[in-house]
Amino acid sequence: MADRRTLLLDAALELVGTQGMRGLTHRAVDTAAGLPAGSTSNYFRTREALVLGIVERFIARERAMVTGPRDEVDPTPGGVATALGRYVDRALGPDRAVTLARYAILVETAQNPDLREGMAPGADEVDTWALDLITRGGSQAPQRDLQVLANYMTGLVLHELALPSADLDAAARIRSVIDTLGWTSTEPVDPRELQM
Amino acid sequence: MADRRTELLDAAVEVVAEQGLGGLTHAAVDARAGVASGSTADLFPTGRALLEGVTQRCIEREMEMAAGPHGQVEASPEGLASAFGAFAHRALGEDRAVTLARYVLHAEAARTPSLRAFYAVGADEADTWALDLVRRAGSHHPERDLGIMANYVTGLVFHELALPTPDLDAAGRVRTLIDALGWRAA
Repeated sequence: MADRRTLLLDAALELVGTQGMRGLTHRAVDTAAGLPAGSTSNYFRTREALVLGIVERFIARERAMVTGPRDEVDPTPGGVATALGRYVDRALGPDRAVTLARYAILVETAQNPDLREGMAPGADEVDTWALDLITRGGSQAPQRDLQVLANYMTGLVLHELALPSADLDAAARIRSVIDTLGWTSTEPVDPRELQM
Repeated sequence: MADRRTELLDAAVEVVAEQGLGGLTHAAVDARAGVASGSTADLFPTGRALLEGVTQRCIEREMEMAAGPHGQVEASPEGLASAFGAFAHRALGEDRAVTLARYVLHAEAARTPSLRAFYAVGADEADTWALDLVRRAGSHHPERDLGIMANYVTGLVFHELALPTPDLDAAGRVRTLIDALGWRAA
């Protein structure tokens, strides 16, 4: 059962995703969460505190989109491709509000540099975690590959959101990027993957 | 000298970047462009026509950000790295409004599927041009590599906008990616 703070932040994320940052007020979050007026203000006194809370929750949600409920990823090229493919599928599907909120937060961050300081620690934490995952998955150049994969996935989600492919197989696309990057794997080769 | 359509749509791009689609009205574009009231409505009679125009203008501007005013890119790994690098720098700098407007438009297309057709037209044209370049530059898998590069640069711009890297060498990063893609030497 989510605690009340998490409940409020998830409601705030939905709100930002559907209405943009303009729709974000303490009262609107109270209503969206189905809680009494004043609840959001109790936890987040200012708008900035609320936005920082949303950023923190957003990072936690993104990580859960990669790992799934068990918070674990099989440390092989195939396992990493499956996990990152799941992220893309969720970002375009059930967690679409998180994705849309991401754009709204980004636009706000670009216009309000103070927010960057709030985002940096969370981004560093995600990088450390992802770097470890990629290294265990078989990457020979983890820094490079993290950049390639993170940028690739962000671009893929952004593109698919506006112009969806009919039968997107995100895990297979990510697997083809991983294979291009030359990860060493002890897995048996699936012949279907050779038909590019 | 830009023609009237271009002038109005560039003003509309700024409006969308700053105020979102909620701020995109004919009057707001007239005011931003500094033209007589009613000018925007003359060329773009409906809100939808204006939205279609802004979307197309963003695609045109993005082409120019990558290829320069004369549409020339050298068909080599270096030439493509420079073009994608120039695109990233402009997207983060002088053409930041195009980038921000693009996120707004993408999010709107995600919510309103009927707007996707606006994107598809310009996107196909840009893809055909870029695919030919990537092939001539030495890619063995042009479709795959263009997809990887385009998504990579989109993601790079997105991340850099939120958390900028000091002294970003975007062309160098794209070159690293191209080298990983294993293009044959020209």
